[in-house]
Amino acid sequence: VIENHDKESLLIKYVDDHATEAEREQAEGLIRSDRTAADFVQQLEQTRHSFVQALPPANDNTVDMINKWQPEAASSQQKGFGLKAICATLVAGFFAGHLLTAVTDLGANLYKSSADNQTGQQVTDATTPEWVRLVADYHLLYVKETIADAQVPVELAKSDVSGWLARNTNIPELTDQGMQFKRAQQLSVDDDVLIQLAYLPENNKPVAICIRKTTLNKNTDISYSNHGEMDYALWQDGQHAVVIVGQLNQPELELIAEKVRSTLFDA
Amino acid sequence: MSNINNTKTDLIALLPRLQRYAGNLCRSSGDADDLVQMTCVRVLEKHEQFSPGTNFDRWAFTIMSSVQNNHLRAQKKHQHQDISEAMLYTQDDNESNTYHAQVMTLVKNLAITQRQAISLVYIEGFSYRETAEILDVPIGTIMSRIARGRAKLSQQLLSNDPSAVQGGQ
Repeated sequence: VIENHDKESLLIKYVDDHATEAEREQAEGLIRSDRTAADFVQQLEQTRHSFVQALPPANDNTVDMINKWQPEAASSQQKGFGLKAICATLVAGFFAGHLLTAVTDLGANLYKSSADNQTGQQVTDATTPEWVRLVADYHLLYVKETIADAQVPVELAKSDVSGWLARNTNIPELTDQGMQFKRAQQLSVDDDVLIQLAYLPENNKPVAICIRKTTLNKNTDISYSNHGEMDYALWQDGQHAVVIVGQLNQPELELIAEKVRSTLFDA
Repeated sequence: MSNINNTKTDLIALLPRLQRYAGNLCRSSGDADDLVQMTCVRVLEKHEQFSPGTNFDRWAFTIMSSVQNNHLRAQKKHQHQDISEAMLYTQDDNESNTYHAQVMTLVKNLAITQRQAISLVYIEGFSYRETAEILDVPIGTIMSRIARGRAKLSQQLLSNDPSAVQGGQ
């Protein structure tokens, strides 16, 4: 007597031409004697030749990313950011799809960045806060196509972001600055959250606004600096640190930062 | 230990298959792109763990499966996302009304575990055992998922358009 799973396996192998001679004989005997088996084989036959699917061309952006990947970046994993962080953040992007989703642990070291480093007071690259470096390193991977197809309704994003930050948060309107809101994502740093709002400029690479709740509660001026190829604007608004990252010239970044600062949170 | 340049070459050669598999798993091209990109980063990051001479394709697909499983676990934690995602999900408009397109559309509507098994075996060409290893489940589970998936496909094809089935034989 053949158990059900064994029967299924036998008949699938038979239909797929993977059965041995002995198995073929066994399957054919089963089909002759068992109506259920015969019906099952008929079902399998109906989809037997249906799965041919052409290969798509390799995505140029992904090929470029692979070619540029440097193994030295792996050394920064030991510090809790760099590639590990990039990888984790990509998980976040994948989880989020077109929407917002809580995601993955970005690493304890990131969470342990000091309170002093969480504000915009230190602006040289050498003292760029770890979480800002993480955001900037990750954002390097963003190209236009990364978010071009995304289009999350602003009201939906506003509602979710406000919920996650436990603070009324707006999705800044930046069309005057030539940027269209595309999607929002939530990263997780242990049990802490890091929100990313992604925008697509008309003629430039994506720009991101990232918000992180800190242990501080104060307001600071906006500081401007860069980390590698990424320019950023950073400030503290109450309990939240905000950073804008992108490849922008100083006047553009200042305009955007001032607009975001004045509209991101309700007074 | 694998040479990073060899890994890059192998990975770029494998990229179209990873993209195809991701496209069959994900409901939007954006999700598929993200899945592929993160898989590539993981493969590069772990390249020293790959043993030259073994099957690179299977190793890379295993990594993609791991990434996908993490995604599924996260989805279970955040079921409230499903409604919104469903609102935003739209089927590809460019699929012609052919038998093959009909089948592939139905494949995309299968349960994710059935979609994984069917895609790996019948589209990517892995053996049942290799598929079981990639998905880290017993081979009997793979056979069962294939059986359930193909039975469902067959039923749906018959109920949608019996004549189309004949046309595909």
